[in-house]
Amino acid sequence: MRTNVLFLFVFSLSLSTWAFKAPALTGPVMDEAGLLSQAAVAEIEQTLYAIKQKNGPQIQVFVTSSLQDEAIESVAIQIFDQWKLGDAKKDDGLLFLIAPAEKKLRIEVGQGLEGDIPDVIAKRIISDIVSPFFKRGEYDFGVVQGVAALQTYLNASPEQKAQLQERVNDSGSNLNKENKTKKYGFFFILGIWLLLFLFNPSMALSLLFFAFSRGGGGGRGGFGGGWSGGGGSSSGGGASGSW
Amino acid sequence: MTKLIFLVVAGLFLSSCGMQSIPQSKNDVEASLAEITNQYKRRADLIPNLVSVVKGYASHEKSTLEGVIEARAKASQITIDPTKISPEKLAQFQAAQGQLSQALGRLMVLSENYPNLKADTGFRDLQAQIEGTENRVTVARNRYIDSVKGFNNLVTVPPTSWTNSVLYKHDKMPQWDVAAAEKEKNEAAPEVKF
Repeated sequence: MRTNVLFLFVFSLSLSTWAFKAPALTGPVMDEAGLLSQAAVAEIEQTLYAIKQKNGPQIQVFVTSSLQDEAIESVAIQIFDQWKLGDAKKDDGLLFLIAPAEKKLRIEVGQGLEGDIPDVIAKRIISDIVSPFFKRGEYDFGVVQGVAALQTYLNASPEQKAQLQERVNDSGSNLNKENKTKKYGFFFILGIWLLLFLFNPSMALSLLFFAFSRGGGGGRGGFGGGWSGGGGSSSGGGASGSW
Repeated sequence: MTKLIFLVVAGLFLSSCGMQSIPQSKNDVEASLAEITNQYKRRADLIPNLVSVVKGYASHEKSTLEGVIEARAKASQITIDPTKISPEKLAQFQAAQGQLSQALGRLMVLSENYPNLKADTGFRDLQAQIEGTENRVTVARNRYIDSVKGFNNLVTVPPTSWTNSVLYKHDKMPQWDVAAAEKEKNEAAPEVKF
């Protein structure tokens, strides 16, 4: 939590020089630090290709070996600017940035997706879903679950979105409620999985299968190339966290 | 022949003289300043909720809470019209928002002492939104700085500056004072109590 407070001060800093050097964009999952297993990379890449092929958003997972002494927020926007994730008109790019050396992560949301994934949701996905796995060293599963959660929110129909929003508002109005996220974390994930199952049973099942068969080898998916930025931009939306 | 020379000169004139690029760049500057004010407005809108959540756990921290409310009131009084940017106005605006940032920073530091507050979902959500907004302000500010730099180059560096002095007569736009923002940040350095 202390780091969160630090954020506010770091944010008041202006970063007038763009100094972070991002590598060339080669695929939906780029793991510089070797954090994820090959099977997980293949699995996630397949999902992300499939989402984009259906004219969906461009989700990018990037594990950087170093933040080069910059704040993760600043690095995320610079990478976003350099890769131009998402469609130029729809601005539907999303960057899931992980910095294992600094133990920091960020979900940077393109301008067109801010309605689907508001900051609160991005923060919750990070602190309630991804971070707990990362803390236990289960990086593969953390990223897979994080991507699945993002997908659930991106696929939600307007009514479901209203419901989700209501839930967010509900939790905001109960000022004196104890923190129950820990107790309900499992149910939260289960709920997300069920939602995913409704939308996309095959992915949900393969996710489950993946959860139980982690560690098994697997070849890379048969997708070649076809992954590049489309001119999208971000205005700094999203959330950061650490583990 | 004269016609041809005229066309070539006119072509050169139109493409590189700044006749188009100066107004375009001015619009960019105005749009990026509007984005800054928009994000600051968003932050101001979140503050009443934040204050009421914190009050629920730390009502006796009156001076800090009142400091935030006061700074917010002052900051929302000082508005800036993106089409009429003057250095004084911009400095005023920046100072008022800077004071609000400081007050908000103190409130966030204070929240560290209240574990129940930190665990409150409402507080966590607001904190996520405020962090997000502060980040958007930073991004918007960087884009403003870049666009002002572009505009000032056009109106001061030949050949476009000649066009400006003949046709538009725009002055340089005031740059966002990063040094002042840094200074405020340092003054607001958190007091950590053990």
